[in-house]
Amino acid sequence: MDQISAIKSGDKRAAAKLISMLENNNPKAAELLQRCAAPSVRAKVIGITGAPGAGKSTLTDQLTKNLLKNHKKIGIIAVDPSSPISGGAFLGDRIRMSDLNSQPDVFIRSMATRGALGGISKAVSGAIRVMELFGADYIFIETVGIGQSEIDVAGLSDIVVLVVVPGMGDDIQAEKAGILEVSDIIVVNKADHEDTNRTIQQLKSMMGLRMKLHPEEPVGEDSEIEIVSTIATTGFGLADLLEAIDARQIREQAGGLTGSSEKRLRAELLDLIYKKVESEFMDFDEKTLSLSISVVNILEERSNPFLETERLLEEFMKWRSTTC
Amino acid sequence: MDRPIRVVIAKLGLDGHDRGAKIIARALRDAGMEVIYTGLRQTPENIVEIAIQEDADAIGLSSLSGAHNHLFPKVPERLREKGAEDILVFGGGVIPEKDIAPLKEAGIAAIFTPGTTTTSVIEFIRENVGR
Repeated sequence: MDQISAIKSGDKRAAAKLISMLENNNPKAAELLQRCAAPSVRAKVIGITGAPGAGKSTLTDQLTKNLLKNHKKIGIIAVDPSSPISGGAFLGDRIRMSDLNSQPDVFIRSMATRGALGGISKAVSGAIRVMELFGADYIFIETVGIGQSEIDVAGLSDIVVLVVVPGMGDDIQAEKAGILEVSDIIVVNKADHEDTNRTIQQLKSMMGLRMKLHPEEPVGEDSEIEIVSTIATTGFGLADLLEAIDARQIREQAGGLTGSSEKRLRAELLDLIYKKVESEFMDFDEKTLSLSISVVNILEERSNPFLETERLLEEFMKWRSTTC
Repeated sequence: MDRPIRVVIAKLGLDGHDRGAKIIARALRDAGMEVIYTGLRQTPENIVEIAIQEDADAIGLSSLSGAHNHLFPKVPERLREKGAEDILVFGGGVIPEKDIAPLKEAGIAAIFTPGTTTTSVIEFIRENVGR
């Protein structure tokens, strides 16, 4: 059986190997994916973001358990940062998802950012495709959780859930992060904390302010960010959260569905183009050593980086038209 | 192709002493590897399942409770059942000298006892992962 058919029949090892090939920029991965038709039904992709320790993994664990009761297949992509020094990574999100390890209908993949900024790894969009082949109905993307650079997840998700905890940082922190602007649902987790109500009030007033500043944005149901309080460790509020996710989904479908699917495809295509151009440019450089020549030119003060960029691009385009 | 080695570091059974496992995890990370840390109280079945989903090159098992003879061999056994015996398995912890040979016989490629330097673990992994 070929690798793609194996993944479609539920072979987790085949799926895991293909994700590794994508992570390692193995050109064979793209070839394999080119040959398979797009899945007719796409998974619901839910981005889970928020500060470290907010409870992202525990919430993902609980959401998954709830969805399993409805016989859904779940994919989880848990991203943790790579060390900028060694390139290694400590991937620890599975610690909070221990009960899911041997569930046949759950596929969890930990990914290191490998130098990517924006809170997710470059291979996430490919991994979503692989999990869709595997048959996932829902895919959770859990971001790094640094808190202020997590907006890349929005491009790849249908719904973004921001997890905050009471009493941690003030409203300015959330405003700075820009993450509020891309969130569809805000979860106030650890809601047994005494500051819970205050945090909810702050979030509400921030959203009210946004509406006043941007009156052109649609008002009413569509623009509303839902706030849900939960205690992930006990399961409190999980039903509300699932309901909020479903409601968001239904609302979008009623609106013609195109919104988030179009957005996801756009992000995916751009991502693929960047990757392809990057790898072709690297090939070009390997054959022509153009980059080193430019560096010498700049070092010896015959040129500058802006001029060299133009020159390199021109040469690259020429090279590309003769080789492809 | 140059890519980070992926290693699952796991604690089997009811053994709650995870300091050693965490030190090894940290050392491997600092050596440029991607370490998937499972947390405590894992079964051999779970560990193999994790290694498969994570496409790990190696599994490191840590034991300080004396249950290694019973629990360690189940991991390579399960890997064979799943057709994933190419994944390297090594172990470490408080393990008496006399137990090492039978564990190796059972498919644990190396056993690291107290006093081992992290460098020797890193070197062992680099030299022995199948790729």
